[in-house]
Amino acid sequence: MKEEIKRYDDLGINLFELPLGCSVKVDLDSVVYPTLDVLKPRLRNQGFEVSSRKDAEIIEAKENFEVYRKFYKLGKNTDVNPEEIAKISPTVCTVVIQAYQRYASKSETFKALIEPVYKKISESGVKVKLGKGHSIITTFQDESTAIFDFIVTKGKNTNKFLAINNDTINIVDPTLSPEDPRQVSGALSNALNDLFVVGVHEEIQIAPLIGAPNEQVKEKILKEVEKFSQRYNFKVINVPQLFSKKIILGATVFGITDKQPPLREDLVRPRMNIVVSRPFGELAPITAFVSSLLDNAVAHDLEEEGITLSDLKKAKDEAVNLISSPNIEVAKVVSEYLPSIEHKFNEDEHILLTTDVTGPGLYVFYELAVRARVTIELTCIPLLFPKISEFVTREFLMPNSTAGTNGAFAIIVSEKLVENVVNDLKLVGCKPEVVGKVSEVGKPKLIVPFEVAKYIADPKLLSLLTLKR
Amino acid sequence: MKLSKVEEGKYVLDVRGLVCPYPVLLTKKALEVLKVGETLDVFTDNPPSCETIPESVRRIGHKVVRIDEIEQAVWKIEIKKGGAP
Repeated sequence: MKEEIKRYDDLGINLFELPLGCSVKVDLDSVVYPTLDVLKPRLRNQGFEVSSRKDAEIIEAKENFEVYRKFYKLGKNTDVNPEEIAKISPTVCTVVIQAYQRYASKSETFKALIEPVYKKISESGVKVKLGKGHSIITTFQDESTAIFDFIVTKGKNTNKFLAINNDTINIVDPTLSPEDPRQVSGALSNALNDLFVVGVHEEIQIAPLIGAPNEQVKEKILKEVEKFSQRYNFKVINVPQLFSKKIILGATVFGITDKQPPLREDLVRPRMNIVVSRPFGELAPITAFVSSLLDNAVAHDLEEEGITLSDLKKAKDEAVNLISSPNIEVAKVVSEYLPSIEHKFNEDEHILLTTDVTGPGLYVFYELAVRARVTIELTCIPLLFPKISEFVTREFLMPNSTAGTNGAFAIIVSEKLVENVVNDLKLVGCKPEVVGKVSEVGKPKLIVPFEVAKYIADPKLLSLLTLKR
Repeated sequence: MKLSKVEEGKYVLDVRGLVCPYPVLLTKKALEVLKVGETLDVFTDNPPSCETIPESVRRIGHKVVRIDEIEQAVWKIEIKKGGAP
């Protein structure tokens, strides 16, 4: 591990500051949403609409669109130029808020950072919608910033939808160099996953968001972005990039669809099935491997459980390969089970609801239960490496070892359709499993087998789950 | 991150800025340096570490004396090295 630490150190990066998988986010439940709840009504009156919580923003598509990226200071000294925004006249925008962690732990201080920015934008007089926000934490005060992508749709209506998402990570695997193709494809696949999970996979465009302390590294990463895009026939949008003392890998991504997205929360009913496209928990072997290299005691304890360092490396490589492979074929399956814009939804033919199993891991099923206001009962938890997940939880190396990045898809589907969906997922190389059912309407709850306690050390998260013996 | 001896029997480990799994790993490694009965103050600004550090060191026989939020979003975890005297 000394070599890896030195490799990053030479680039001016402390490897220990880079979270594995998703960037450290500002807490959604205690900070972001309470802040937005206060700001939303005030801003709406001024023509700045903040969308409700969602995986991807979906708007009416026109013949083409343009992206204008702007960086603004947060807080009362913000340098937003309302005239410039009026000139751009955006249809919708996305934002990555990079907040200094001291101000990101409480709603009041977070509000003090973002309110002046949003207010100043609303002074442009343009009716603009904030479609997708992503708030991450920086440990460097001078890196507090808001990165806006203003999107202007142009031309005639197309009778299609434009789906937009933004996401960032810091690093997939710290034992690889930051510009390694797997880091880049992992980060881009992770941003694309929220489009893929709603079945959007056509006319994909990527506006990369890359931060690095070193221009050479940044250029190498951007070259990998080009290569990744060429491989899958995606288009890269040329936008300004970030200066950062840390590695930031991500993008705002766009895709076109003529299907209705699977957002049928209101139609979810008892006996409907919960399917996952493959086992999850891909961050556990990466964490265990890195910990083993840093501390011989961890490697020794794992060996005592029958997991050698070479087994662990194999598991880690398998997880990295999964993270760095875009779920585009799975997206095509989801899309097959969605109604076209002009057709009526039918639960015997169409998927109702989807999400991806990412940073919150198992908790995404709780979020699904809350969204649909139903009780979901999971009967099995398919983890990629259950023994490793159990180990990293027991050793407090991960608060939630069911977490992933560019994760599996969770799908709610009717009893009649479930077999077809499972078979089609198998045809594209997935290992799908029916993991549970919807049991009751009106009582948002997630019931899980008692063994889940082996995989989650976070008491807050555990308290949201109903463990069943 | 740095382990320093501030006075006889008292050490400080600053893991501010670091994220999981590193604060737990470094705390356990730092405790190996201490003698039984000596104390280690760990400074962290990673909220999950306020749960994982105390739980992990308690399990291997050390005592968590106190956890204080010493300034906004920065915590000090005071640990007394356990084991046979």
